[in-house]
Amino acid sequence: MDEPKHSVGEIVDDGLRTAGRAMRRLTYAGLALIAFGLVLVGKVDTRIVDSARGGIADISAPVLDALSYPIASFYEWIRDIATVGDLMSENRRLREENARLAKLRLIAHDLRAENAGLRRLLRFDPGPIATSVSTRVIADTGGVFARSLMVHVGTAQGVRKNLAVLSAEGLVGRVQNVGQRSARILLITDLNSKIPVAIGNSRRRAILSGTNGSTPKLEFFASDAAPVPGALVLTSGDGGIFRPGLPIGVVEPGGDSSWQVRPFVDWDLLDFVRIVDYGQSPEIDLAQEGQ
Amino acid sequence: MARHEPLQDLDTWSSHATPALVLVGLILLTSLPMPIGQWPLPNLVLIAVYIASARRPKSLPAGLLFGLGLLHDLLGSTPIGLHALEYLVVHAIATQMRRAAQSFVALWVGFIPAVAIAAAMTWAVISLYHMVWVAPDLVLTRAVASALAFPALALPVLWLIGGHRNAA
Repeated sequence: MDEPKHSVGEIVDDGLRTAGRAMRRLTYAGLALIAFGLVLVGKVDTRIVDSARGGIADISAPVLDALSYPIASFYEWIRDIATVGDLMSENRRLREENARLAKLRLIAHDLRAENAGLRRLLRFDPGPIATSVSTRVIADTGGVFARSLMVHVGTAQGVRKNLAVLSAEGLVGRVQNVGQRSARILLITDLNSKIPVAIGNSRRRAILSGTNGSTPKLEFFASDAAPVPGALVLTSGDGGIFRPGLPIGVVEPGGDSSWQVRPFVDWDLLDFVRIVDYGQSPEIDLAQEGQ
Repeated sequence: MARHEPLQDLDTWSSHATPALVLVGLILLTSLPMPIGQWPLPNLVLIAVYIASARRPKSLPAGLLFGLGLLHDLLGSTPIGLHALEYLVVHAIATQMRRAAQSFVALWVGFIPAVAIAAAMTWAVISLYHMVWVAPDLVLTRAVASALAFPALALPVLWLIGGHRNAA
């Protein structure tokens, strides 16, 4: 009779190894199912996710704030170095711009006086005055699947969900999620961003949809009113989230006879943003401005 | 009877905790704003997850990686569970090819299918999540950038997690 190939100990070891591998596979499968389930839950119930995100953002914001300072300073230093060679031409450009702005200031004074007179005449009520808080961007919390930023101001500074976020150039996005001392901003380029807009002088309506790329696309415009390349795109105010007339960008042709918008915002230089409350919520604490 | 020295315990604990701590640090670091506009950077966290899973699997069990993925999702704006799913897939692939990926070149070659599968899976989940055809160009660009940048980024990660010693 032949000797058995394996001793009892080896058979037990083999069995344990097989059971271990099976357990690991089951663990992977279980965790993967839970993760996929969480994706679905997050789609259905955004309140739980918003609350959890707000908590994590509040905890991480001081760390990200501290870490982002030296990085922002470094890039500012690099930009300064890069512009040293252009100082002469920059100086000439600024002089010309200053002269142009001086003329525009005189015109603006006249128009303001005329506007005030007409308002008195019509007893026009301009509505609540907008208040704002300016803040530094502390994190880019997006990626290839999302476009968002984090700032270190929250409900403690009067920020609330859906407030408009602007840069010096134009509309950046809206407050998507707010914690006590932090807020997340959904950029106009995010796939979830759908903004009612008005195009050009005709003020034809369309929807600006984010694509996760750098140029959101124009959708749902009347077929007999195709956008014109170079036309200005502003918020229309429909839907009530944004005030009408906030500048977004200019129209340019996309591929496949579609139209897209080149935003005014320079995403490379987006160090600071302004969160603006147009009066539909408690006032932002302006004492906090400049954080 | 063997005596447990407190410093020895601390050393053992820190050695085991290093991969997870490095991943937390990289998740925070890659969240910082960079002046590169909206171009996709190589996925440094995924590279670290792959390396840690291949070289330090006992210090990075699937459950811990799942938690780190959730943390990444909560810190960012991706659907909750997406990074957890992505990291689990890469972890499973990396641990399977662990014995084959002993050399650095083999580790790099093994990363290419891992990042490709992870990119395809996350792209599919995102398209389903939004119920739209999400253009795959950014995901593809990022996967290619990650594969190409692997040698440069993997070396410091290997050094940080102690994977160059091939410890368990």
